[in-house]
Amino acid sequence: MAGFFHVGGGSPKMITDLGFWTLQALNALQLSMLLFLLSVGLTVIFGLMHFVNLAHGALYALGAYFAASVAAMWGYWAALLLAPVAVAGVGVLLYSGFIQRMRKSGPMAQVLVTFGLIFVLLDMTRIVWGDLPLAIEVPAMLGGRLAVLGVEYPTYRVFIIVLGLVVLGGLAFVLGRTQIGAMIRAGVDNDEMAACLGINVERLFFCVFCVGCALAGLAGVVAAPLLSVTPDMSLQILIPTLIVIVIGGLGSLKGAVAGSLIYGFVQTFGAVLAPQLSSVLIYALLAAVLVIKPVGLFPAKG
Amino acid sequence: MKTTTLAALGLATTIATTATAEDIKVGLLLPYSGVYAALGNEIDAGFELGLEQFGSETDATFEIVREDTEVKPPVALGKAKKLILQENVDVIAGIVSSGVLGAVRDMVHGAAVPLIVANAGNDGATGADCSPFITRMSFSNGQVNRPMGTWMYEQGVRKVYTLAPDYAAGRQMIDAFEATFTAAGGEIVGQDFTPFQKTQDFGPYLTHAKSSGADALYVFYAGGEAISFVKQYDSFGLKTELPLYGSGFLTSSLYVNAQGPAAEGVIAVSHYVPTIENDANAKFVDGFTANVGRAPSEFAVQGYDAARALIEATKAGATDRASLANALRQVTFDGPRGTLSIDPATNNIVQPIYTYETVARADGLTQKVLAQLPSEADPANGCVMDPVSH
Amino acid sequence: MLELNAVNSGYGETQVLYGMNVTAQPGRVLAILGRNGAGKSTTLKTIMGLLPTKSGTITFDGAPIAKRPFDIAKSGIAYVPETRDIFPSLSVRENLELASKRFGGGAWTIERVIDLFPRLGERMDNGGMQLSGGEQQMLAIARALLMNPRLLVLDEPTEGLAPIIVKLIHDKLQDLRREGLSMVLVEQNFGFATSLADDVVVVGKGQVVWSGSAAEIRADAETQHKWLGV
Repeated sequence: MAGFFHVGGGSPKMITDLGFWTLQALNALQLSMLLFLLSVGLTVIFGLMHFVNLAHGALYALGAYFAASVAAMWGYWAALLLAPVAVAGVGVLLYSGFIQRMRKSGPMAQVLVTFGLIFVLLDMTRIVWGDLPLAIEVPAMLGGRLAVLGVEYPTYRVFIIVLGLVVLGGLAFVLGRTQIGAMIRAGVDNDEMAACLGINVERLFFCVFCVGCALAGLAGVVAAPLLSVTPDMSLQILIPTLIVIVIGGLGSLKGAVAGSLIYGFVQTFGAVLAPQLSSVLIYALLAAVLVIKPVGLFPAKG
Repeated sequence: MKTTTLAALGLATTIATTATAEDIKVGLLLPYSGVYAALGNEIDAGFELGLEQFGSETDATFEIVREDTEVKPPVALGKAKKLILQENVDVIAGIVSSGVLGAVRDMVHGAAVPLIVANAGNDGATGADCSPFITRMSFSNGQVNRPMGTWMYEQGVRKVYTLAPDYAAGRQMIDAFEATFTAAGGEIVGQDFTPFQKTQDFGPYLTHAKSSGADALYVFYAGGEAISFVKQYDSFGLKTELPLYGSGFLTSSLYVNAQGPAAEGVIAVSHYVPTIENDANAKFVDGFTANVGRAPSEFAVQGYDAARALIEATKAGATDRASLANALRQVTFDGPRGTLSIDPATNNIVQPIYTYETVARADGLTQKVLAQLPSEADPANGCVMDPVSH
Repeated sequence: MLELNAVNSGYGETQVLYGMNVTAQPGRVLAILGRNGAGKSTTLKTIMGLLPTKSGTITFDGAPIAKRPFDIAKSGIAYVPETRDIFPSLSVRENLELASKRFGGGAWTIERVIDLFPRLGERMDNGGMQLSGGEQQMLAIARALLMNPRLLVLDEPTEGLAPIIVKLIHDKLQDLRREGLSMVLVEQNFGFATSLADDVVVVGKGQVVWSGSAAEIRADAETQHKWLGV
């Protein structure tokens, strides 16, 4: 008898329940913002430097590990500030050790080296922090739940959404409205011409690279209390991030936003509406984008 | 029957003690790197402790050769070949992932090398794919979850929503629970299988479960997924309206401290928790804590009992591959988990199952045993093997 | 002012310039003429540091020129490339400000370049890619002027433009020349180039094959025929 109810799909009750859909939309937004923090650094670095840094996900994992160590000593807020800085520091080492000298090598060499770096960093995290997952507690201020749009939603997730929006707003302002932003866009458009206008493109790239790394670290800190901090978190996040930037289009802020939102919503609502398809849905969408618009929805260059 | 066994034992002991000490070469085939490295190390530590505490009971000496499976089936197969052909081991122990077990199964079966499985729980390994050379000292997925359906119904739970990762173990665990829960009269009001190791955000599934009208949530997650899941479950404030039950790995002592207060009140079913009260467990927990600095997990006890089973087999007179395989199928002893035996029909372990609640104590989270459920042998599940020889 | 002395340069393994010797005098316009592939644009890219000098020396104001393009730009050389290279993601205003905010304090201001090219004033908030070819050329020149350069380097400023725009560009560059701005001009349009230039070099196969004044080349039908195909 009970066998008749063994279904994964929604019952009529939840489909008419507005709160259910609000919660799912918030879930989708929360996931989108987390992915946005991660993909924006990768995509801008790519747009500016034409450099495929697959180790970006490893920096996210490092951010989470740094955060776990810092939080254990001085609490979450210190981790939120310090871990991205520490990750940017690792970015500096990566830049001077590998990336600078690989700028002119082809994408294949870059992919291979940075993919290898993932495993080097993964093993380093294992050596330093061990195999057992670590965790960070949500700070008291962000514990519990908030009433948002008529539903109760975990405060920490609201915090992720707000932080994502703040970073998005900040980046949009800097990139769109300031001289530095114009320099970065000019560098993405045409680095040689930008240099001929007296812009030290290398130094600019380096700064952007560091900011991108710091954002990856920030994503790691923010994700840590939500997830578990494990050595393989870099590999787990790599594919979603790549999907985001391929759908969104390489090199543009708009693309990172669009890609993250599409991923977040497709993944979340796919899991609810078509659970059997949820793992393939996003790949199907990726394939569709690649067929219809191979450069992605909002590429940096036309 | 009993007397013949005893007589055989006695005879074997006499032979063993009179013969020159036998050296048994053991291949430990475990993941020392990759996603299950923590489990590999845990099992290894348990195995070492088993030899340390019980090695003196046998005249045999043990030489250990370690190989890293990297949790990659093709790598593991290569390492198994190396252990069997090059190292010429007498017995292999270990295997964390069922994928790895599937990959090495034909190799060990064909080479007639005894394998003591110290984790991989795939039901089929002691079902249709069973082998007289493969003895499982850990658990089977169905075995751990099966008693929970009945028990939860008895506790008054009527409507359950289930969640598990979408792979063989996830499905077997949930299916075993579902079978007994619905047989008892309970109802599964919904279930999701989440993409395995690809799901970071359980929010959508938790929201779905919340609006399903279920009395409780029954889930299987392990490792990093278990930590993420329990924390996210708690963050949605579901503890009061949708109590969380799960397969024991969910709040394993290995991971529970990373889950923190979120794990408090979760009720799970397992073949082992470090707080089981018996003398054998006290000895195990003390020894493990002294060596490793924290309480052992179910993975550690599996390694410990694998070593113990090997020692018992040598005590019964086994000296080479064939005699070890045969003796391992008849092993029985009282260990930290209670009375263990091997069901010669499947070569799977028969053991009591415990339900426990994760509770907070001054020194952190611990496991409060709620009930000990009786030992039951798994159904043969398509397993056809020659009986043991005495 | 700018002197190339036995410069060898090219793209990767492909050498294009073979011992290029060119001197640009302050306050004068030097036109570099030659057929397609003779090495004219390569010369300019080498000056700007976009291509490496494999051997030979380039001096600017008597000192070796900087190595990296942005240092060269800072030393006072502004470049108007053949492809104009307007930044498509930037508005006209941002394209101009990129130069003006970094090289402010000189004679050239945004107001002044708009006086020079009033069309740009109407299109300040348009995106770089929305401009016509002529407008892009005006913007590229205006952007270069906002760097307040001591030397303006122009690569084929008339290429692909309508005759009326060519005339306009010619007149504006003539104004700049009268003001005493030093320029190096690469051009295919013989009439345009020789009416602007004071000095002319003709290059062929990566070397200077002729040099003299604009008046001389205008009168030298043989050189015109042999090296320029006029």
